[in-house]
Amino acid sequence: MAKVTKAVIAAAGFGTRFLPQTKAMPKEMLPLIDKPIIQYVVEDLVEAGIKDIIIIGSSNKRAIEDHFDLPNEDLLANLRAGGPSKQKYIDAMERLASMANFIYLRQKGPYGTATPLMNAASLLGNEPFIYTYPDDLTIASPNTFQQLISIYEEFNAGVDSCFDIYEDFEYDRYGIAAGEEVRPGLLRMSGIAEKPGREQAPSNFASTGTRLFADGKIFEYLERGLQNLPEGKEFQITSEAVEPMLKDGIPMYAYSIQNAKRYDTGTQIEYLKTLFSFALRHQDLGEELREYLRGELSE
Amino acid sequence: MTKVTKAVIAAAGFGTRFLPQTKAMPKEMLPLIDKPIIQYVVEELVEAGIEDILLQVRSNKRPIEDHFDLPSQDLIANLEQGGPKKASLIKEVNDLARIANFVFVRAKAPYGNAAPVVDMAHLLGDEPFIYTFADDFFVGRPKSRFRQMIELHEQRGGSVISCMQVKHDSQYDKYGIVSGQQVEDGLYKVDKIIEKPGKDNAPSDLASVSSYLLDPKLIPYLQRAEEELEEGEEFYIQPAMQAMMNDGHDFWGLNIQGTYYDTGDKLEYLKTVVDFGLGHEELGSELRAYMEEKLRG
Repeated sequence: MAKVTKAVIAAAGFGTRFLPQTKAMPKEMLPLIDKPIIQYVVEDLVEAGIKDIIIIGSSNKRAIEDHFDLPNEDLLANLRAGGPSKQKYIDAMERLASMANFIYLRQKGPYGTATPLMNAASLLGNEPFIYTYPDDLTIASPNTFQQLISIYEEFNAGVDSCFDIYEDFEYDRYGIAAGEEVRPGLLRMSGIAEKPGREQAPSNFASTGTRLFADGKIFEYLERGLQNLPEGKEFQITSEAVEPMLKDGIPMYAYSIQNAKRYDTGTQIEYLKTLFSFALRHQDLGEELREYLRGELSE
Repeated sequence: MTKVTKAVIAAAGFGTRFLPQTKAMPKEMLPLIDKPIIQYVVEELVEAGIEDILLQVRSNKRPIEDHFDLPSQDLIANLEQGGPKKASLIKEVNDLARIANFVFVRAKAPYGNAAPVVDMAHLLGDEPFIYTFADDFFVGRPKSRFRQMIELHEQRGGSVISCMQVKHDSQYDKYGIVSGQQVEDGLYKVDKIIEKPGKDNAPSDLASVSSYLLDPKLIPYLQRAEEELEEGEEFYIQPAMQAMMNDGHDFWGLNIQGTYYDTGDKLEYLKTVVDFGLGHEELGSELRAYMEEKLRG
């Protein structure tokens, strides 16, 4: 079985929900304490053994490329002037550039989740790979990607990263996996119901959109889907590839990520909640911030 | 009296306290809810009548230039697809480019807080100007901080140092404290700024923070100081201000009415995000509920 060493991150969105903040900076670079959101995703991928990280961006995403580049000499000179206490920053930044092979592509094609993947097809060939979004930040142990890879290695099949939902409104918000339970937390998929509502929901496995694909077959489906895409229709992975693949009997599993806490960073309020959740648990800052919050909230 | 219409913003720092976050993005672009910190400073300047905003930057500060530029047409096309509910955003991102004349100058003078003024000298001419940092700011009440400073300058002439009243004893070890004659409540005629005196030796309870309104006569003092600077020595503004005070030029230490926000390190930045988040019209109550639950949990 081929080892999973490649990942694609879709990062071409405009982040208009964060405007004006994101007028000139990518939303993926919004900070969670002292690291941008995308760095958390990249670090998890690297920990899971991913070597090649393909980031699908657009013209305003240069800061992402610079972030995972070697630090510029001006900054290094400034840090060196700061003496030994700054050495840890130099080390951390050099590590950032060397922890994976970073590959950047510009997004081209119709609006939709399938386009970034199509753009990376020539780099992925027939190898297994992970496809993920920086908005979907799940802190899990082992991490999300490690768990997906272990299911892939067990079944030699694609895996849809899911989380359990309980609230009524959530059934109207996510794609819900259908299929036969293999064991608790794992379904062999037969389809996906888009926002079915609680009554019609085939399970309580909500798909995050992060997926592991076992090989390059998906590109045949996407190619066909793109050729037949009606004018003005969004080019979506679920409808154009995942559902037809399942129909053709290609196995895929829905896996509910274990020991996980899911953080949304896609809207301002959810981003702020995530920020404070991280901050309160931060080793150096947590305690003092907690104290400050107590004071602020009692006013 | 010459109207104050120019401001210098020091924005060439490396922001190393926020690394790795600031490896490829300027610390001035760190968000406070939905706007970068520097936008709060710029909007406060514009509200106080400033027309020309001169930013001292360096090679990695391009996002600041782009932020106050006309938006990219890709972004506009995307927003237009979003229909009427995005129309106000189109206006907002366009207007940002037009609220002032933005002038960017690359940092060249020796490192230190005097450098931005010297780098801008050729643009400042003979007018009084505001000099401000972009990693701390005031929310002035009832008037903005810069209005308070400009009004004092219009009444009394001279230069103005924005001050915060010290709240914790430890702050006497962190800031420069103004010394001089108190002329009225919250206003000192400054004869000296004493750096980090400690509580016992503090000449007043006003700390010099964040900004100045400066008499252009300071520029030749700074240029002279630059010539006399030793190799490797940092280029501070305070000695030149001291020399000017000694020559009888007025400097006023003004206790700014309002709240001082520091965003210069991670903890103070997070506290500021807390305050702005809780005070936010749309997000405040949901965020408060969330945090109350977090603290109980």
